[in-house]
Amino acid sequence: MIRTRKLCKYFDGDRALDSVDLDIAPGEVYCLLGANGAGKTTLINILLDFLPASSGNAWINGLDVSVEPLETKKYVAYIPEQVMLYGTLSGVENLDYFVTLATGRRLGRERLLELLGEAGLAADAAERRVAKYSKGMRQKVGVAIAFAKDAKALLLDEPTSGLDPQAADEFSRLLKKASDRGVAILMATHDLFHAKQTGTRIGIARRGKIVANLDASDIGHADLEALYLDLMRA
Amino acid sequence: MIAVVAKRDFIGFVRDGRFSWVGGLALVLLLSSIAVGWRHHSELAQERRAAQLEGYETWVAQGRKNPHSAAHLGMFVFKPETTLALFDPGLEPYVGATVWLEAHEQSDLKFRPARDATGLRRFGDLSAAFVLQMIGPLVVLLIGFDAFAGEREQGTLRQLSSLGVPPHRLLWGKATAVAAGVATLLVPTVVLLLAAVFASGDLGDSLARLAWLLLGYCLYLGTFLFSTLAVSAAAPNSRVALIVLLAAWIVATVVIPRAASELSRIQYPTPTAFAFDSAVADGLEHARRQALEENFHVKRSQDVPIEETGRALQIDDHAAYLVFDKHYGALWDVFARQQRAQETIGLLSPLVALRGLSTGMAGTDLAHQRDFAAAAERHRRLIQDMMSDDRIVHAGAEGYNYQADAELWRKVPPFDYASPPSGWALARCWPNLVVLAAGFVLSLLSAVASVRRLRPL
Repeated sequence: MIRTRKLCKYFDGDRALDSVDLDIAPGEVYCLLGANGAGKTTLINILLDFLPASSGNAWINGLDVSVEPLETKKYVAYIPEQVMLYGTLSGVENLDYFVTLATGRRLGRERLLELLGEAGLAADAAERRVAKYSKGMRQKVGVAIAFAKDAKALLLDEPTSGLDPQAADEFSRLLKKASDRGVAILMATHDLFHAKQTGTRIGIARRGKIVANLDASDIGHADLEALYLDLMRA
Repeated sequence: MIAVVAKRDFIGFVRDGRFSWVGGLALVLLLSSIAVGWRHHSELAQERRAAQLEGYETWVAQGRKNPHSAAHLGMFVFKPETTLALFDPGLEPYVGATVWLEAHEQSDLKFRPARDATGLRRFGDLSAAFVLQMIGPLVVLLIGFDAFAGEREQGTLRQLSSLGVPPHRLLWGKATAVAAGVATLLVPTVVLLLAAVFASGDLGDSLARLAWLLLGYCLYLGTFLFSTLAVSAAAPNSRVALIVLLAAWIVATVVIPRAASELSRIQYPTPTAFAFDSAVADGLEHARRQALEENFHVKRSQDVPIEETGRALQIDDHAAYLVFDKHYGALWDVFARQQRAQETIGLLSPLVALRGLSTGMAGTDLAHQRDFAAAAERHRRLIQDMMSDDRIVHAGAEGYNYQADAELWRKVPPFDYASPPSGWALARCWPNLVVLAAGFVLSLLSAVASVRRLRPL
């Protein structure tokens, strides 16, 4: 579902991505670990066609993201570290707006509230203006957008960063729910604990290169941490 | 999708209070200026009709006297205000709308309200056209400056881009939202102007003029709308967008029109009143002397035989007509050249073109003033010629002792001037319309190009 081959990106001669090959199948949760500047966000930006690749290719659902960017996005949902919504609209109005733009059809108010409920947002909160939402509440609206869109691929950039443990745990459960529906998930994160807890596979990126690819079930929390620190020191 | 984006943006700038303040204040200013203009227009029209009628009645009731003396009685004639002058009074406060008709002397337009106006009065005369021309673009840029730049700053542009929303649809949606905001200013204005047109009873021509006027204002505000969106899409953040747009607004609505006016007067200077009057007086003296010598072989009018004085006066008047035509024609030509020069410099600002179209369609521009002044002068000459003809036919040896009565005075028709039709006005204004349309297309293309390069990061 999500695939890259020899993907490279340079910024003013500096290498941000170095020949990245990636395959994420439907239902798979791929957690990409790495320090700041490892190239995690750059990879997601290229998959979203926010940035052009310097060389190599990236596909989503078999479509080259740089050749058919608008078509590709029909299959993708994106949840950044801070889900950006319109502060002057309520949660349900934001969802209505983004879903209508994404799918070209209006969902009824009840369905919208149901989607927000599935994402863990209470009905009374859904009616309030987003300007007063916490980060976790915004993430839930982001997840509801992904659910409503029925996305086949989910790109997450540090989604649990700054969330309290309970909210992060709820978020992990939502991702599990999505993967059970067959969604391919790429999650860039610093959070080793949730990567191990949520991921089916784990990648470790260093200086633009994926230096380790692991099956999450083959490694424990402590070993993952040790491996990560070793690779970062190398 | 366009309607969805438009609705979101409209709700956004209504809920954040910007539109309520900026649009609300502009609307209050606009509606009050139309209301004041309407009242002023109604009172003025009534006063002018009454004054002109009274002048004609005085003329008819002047009693028995020599036709030459009668021609010196004179009368005021007034330019009837078009209905749309309540929207755009144009040049009238500066050039006047009243002409004094008297034998031997062509008179320019008198009683210019601006000449007697205090600073406060000028502020009170704020016209609806001025509000739309100056404040209209400000409303557009204050509600539209962050259309794209704000989305980029808040990160919502990333969200929208990730959903695969084509940028051009965002552009049309945002343009529709800002246009809906502007429509809240334009619609009440048009409704009030329609009411004024219907109340005046002058439907056909005024409606056509109003339609052209509306097209001009739509193109003008549309130019600012798409320029605002182009800048917003290209600017790194909304603060930069706002600064650039405010600077552009000042340049387009204040600096260029003012510079165009000053430069046109430097290039084509208007003669001073003293120089103009002296040139006319010299011309008249020379023409009159020449006419006496050629027709009667005398140097002074006193030496013309008594039975020929009627013909001598007529010859004198006709010689003066040529002098007046030459000097007043040249003066109007200077004004016309100044206007053309302003319009050429004004290619850099749509406001100059809009003013030309607006005053032209409101019937308050230079061409309409000139048409009225020419009609008034034709009427003066008609009176003068009728008086001279009567004296030539009936005075004989009585000369200055001959007296005519009301029968002759009644033969002079009342001055009945109607503003030229809208087609006449359009024939003079179409270059302004072309400039406005070109500005609109350019701004639209720049917005499309700017949005095509739009990146969420």
